[in-house]
Amino acid sequence: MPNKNLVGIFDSDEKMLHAAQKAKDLGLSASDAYTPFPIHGIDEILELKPSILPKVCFFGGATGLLTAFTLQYWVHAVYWPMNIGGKSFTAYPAMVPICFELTVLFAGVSTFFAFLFLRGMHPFKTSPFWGLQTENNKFALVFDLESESKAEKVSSLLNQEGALEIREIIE
Amino acid sequence: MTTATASSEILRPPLVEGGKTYGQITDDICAPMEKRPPLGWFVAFTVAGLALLWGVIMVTDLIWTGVGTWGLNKTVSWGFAITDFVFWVGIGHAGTLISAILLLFRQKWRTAINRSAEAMTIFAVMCAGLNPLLHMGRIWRGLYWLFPYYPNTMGPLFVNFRSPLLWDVFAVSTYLTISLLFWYMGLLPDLATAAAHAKGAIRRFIFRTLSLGWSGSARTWRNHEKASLLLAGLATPLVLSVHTVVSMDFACAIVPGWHSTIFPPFFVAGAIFSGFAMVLTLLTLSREFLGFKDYITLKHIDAMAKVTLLTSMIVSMAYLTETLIGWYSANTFERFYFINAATGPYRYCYWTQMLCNVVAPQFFWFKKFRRSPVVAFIISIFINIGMWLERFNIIVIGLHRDFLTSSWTMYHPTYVDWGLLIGLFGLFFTCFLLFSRSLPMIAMSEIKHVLSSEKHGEKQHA
Repeated sequence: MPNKNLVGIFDSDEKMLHAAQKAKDLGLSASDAYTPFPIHGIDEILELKPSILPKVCFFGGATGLLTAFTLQYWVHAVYWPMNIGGKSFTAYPAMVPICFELTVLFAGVSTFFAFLFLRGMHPFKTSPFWGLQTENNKFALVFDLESESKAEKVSSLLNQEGALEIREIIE
Repeated sequence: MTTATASSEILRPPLVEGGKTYGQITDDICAPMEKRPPLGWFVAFTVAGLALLWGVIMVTDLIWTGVGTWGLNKTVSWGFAITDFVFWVGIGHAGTLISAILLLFRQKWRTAINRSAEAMTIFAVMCAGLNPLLHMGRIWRGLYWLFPYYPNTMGPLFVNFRSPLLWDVFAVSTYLTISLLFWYMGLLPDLATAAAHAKGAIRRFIFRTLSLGWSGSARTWRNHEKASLLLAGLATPLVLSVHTVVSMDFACAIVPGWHSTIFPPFFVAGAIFSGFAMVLTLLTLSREFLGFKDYITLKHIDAMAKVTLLTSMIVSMAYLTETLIGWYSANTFERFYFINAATGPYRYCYWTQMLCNVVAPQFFWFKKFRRSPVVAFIISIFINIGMWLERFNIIVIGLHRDFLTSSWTMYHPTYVDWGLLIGLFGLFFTCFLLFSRSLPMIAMSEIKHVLSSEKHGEKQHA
């Protein structure tokens, strides 16, 4: 089902943030904001959930560590043990550097791709919110329109808060 | 609130000069990508391209003939290639330091220079990685020698996980991968900005595709900031580990002058030192020729000069410590290494290294010199030369007169050795010049963020 949105476009982050706060106080919560840089304070107003990326990073790193350890242990102690200077086949201090490198590699790669996956990003993605110059110097505050009455309240609020333009965008 | 704003204005001059608006920042930073480059760019590109071409010819000769075409011999079995390897990996370190460690320390001045420093890291690590590959002689066997794979078709043995040389393979390839991801992560919003700013449809399509559909929604930004922070947190210990592992190639051997426990921190400090010198070289040039004077200000040059001075002091301290320990060890071979370095046939290299790395950076004690792009550029060239020589001296002076006097010899680089050195500089500068024309060289979203917080007098948000 197409989703109707009302978008207020501002030329400053302060004005947009103020409008978002005002809307929240009036019970007209905004659903999203499109901005050229991260705006601090908008997360609380939009009540966004904390990112799960730290968890992904941790489990990616743990997998890397386990992989590195298993690989080295298997090669040197199970598959083809070699006596080098009478040292133990499982001399683990020598495994530390590769364990560390693969931990970092797996953690980093999984964080990066988890980010793309979470935000549904890929080379052929298109967004209905392009063309508002929010990548350049405009700040867009998006309201989800569940009812007609909300539309009127929102647009009067946006006008009052100094929005340059109000657009309806169907998602 | 007002007093806080006023005092912060007095204490901290703005990081972005010229009273810019958000739109102007986009225009300024997209400008070199959209208009015809200046003549100087074409001259530089031609020189770099010719150097690269010469390198390609020399490398073809090398692969065709084998490593015998280098000046190496049985005694000095590591020469220019390993020197170049350590040098270029070291150059890369400053990029990660600027982008990751300074992000964690919330140093806002990094925003103007982090993008180009990260690009520098990637190109430098590419240059570095080529050297050990070429040094193998038969690079088509590289996969078998470098990485474990199963079933192993070349015999029953796997790679030796207990060798520092193999740790290097893992360290450098992880470093390249993480640096690329971190760089691309930061580029995503700017690629979208470049797409929005582009005039032509093809250009817009390319940037839009590369930006992977970036929309700048609050949810995306929230995850993006978290992911950048995580990658920075991962890159910080990684960068320290990479040069530590590189130093272990030497420290784990028994060659006098190599077998030293001070090597890991000494190499890391040297890497940051040489890397910052290269950043200074590149940025003093690009602010001059690409019109970024309002973004890469004298304050940035000043800050980088300070880091260079600090790391120069650490490196000098390490030289002293090493020499002292060489004497204190009462080991004949260890003592001989230092005497031979200072008075032997390679003494000119040794004293040039000292002049470039210990003496030249001392000018940065004076504010007048730290804030002069010309002086900073000249000193940075001295340091680049000095740090290359440092690696050359460690490798060649260590090897050429070791335990047996009967095997003493000299290393004379051939034109193929020089060709590789020139070719790597060609590769590096060709990549950097292409980057300066095709991608946003300064992180626009971060600059806008800094500008916004400067406007609002915020202090602690980063």
